[in-house]
Amino acid sequence: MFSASFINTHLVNRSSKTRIFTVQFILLLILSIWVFGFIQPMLGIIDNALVNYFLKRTYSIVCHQESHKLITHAGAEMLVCSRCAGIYIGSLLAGLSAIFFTFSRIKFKALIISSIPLASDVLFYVFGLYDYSKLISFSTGMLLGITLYLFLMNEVENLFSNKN
Amino acid sequence: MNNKYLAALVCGFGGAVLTTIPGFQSIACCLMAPVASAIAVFLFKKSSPDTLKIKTGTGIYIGLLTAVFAALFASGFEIIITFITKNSDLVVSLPQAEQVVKDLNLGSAADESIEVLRQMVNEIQSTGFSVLYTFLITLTNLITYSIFGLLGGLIGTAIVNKRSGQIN
Repeated sequence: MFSASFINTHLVNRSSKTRIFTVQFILLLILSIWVFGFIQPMLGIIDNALVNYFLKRTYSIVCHQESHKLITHAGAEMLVCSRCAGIYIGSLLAGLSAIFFTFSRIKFKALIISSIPLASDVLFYVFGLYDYSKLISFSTGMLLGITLYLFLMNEVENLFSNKN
Repeated sequence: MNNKYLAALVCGFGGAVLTTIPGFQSIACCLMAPVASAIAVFLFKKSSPDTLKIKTGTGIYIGLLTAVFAALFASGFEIIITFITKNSDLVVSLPQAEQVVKDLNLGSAADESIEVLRQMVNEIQSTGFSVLYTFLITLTNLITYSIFGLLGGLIGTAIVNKRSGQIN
């Protein structure tokens, strides 16, 4: 499982590989908790009003939470908008995939390119070219989320390799 | 003061000030903390001309520091605003929370938690201050800003090093 991971074995030694895997694992854990937190109202696991209020408040720091932009299911709403949900879920999927598959190194340019669809969607919506689409926002967010995760793992790899 | 701390303090304070602007959240979304952290890394590089390349670890540290400062200042501003106005988003959203609990018939645990929320709202409306509310908003700010600040520090370092032409 380790050998098939994201880590580029030719660049880093064994101890660095372990450290990178640890960071990757911690990042995945944080991402999983984060994603679980914002889909929690749909799952209806936490019935404590105090916890729910502060969960909503936590996500309100990083998302506008406008109700018409939230993904809903059976009357329950996610705590972040479609675009943010796409970014986080995309990152989580990339993180899970990176455990089993090897990805080539992502450069900063790729991050910029992958943010173009998202930025275009924001601009087209703001200038009234089309109405807000949860599907477009989610998918463009997801694209950025995947690239962002892979780019971050590259930087983590740089941190633990001898480049620094 | 060390350049690292100064850059983090300036950007953290600036970011926290921006959070007090009504409607800012709908534009900035999740970008405030990462951008503030990235700018802090940039300022650190500017103020340290001898540093050819910022280490990723240093960038992450600056990002985290910026986020912690931003969280503390943002919490402080919110506490002050709540104290002056004797109002907060909790006061506004309490009726909604009560309605949800009533509709879903969630049981005694939910009723107890609603009681805690009511108590906080009463304290805010009467004195403008609630210890539990202050603790919880500071905690949520610290957690959220720190996560995004770390990312901002990491990305900021990559950008700054790229600009310096020092990265491979």
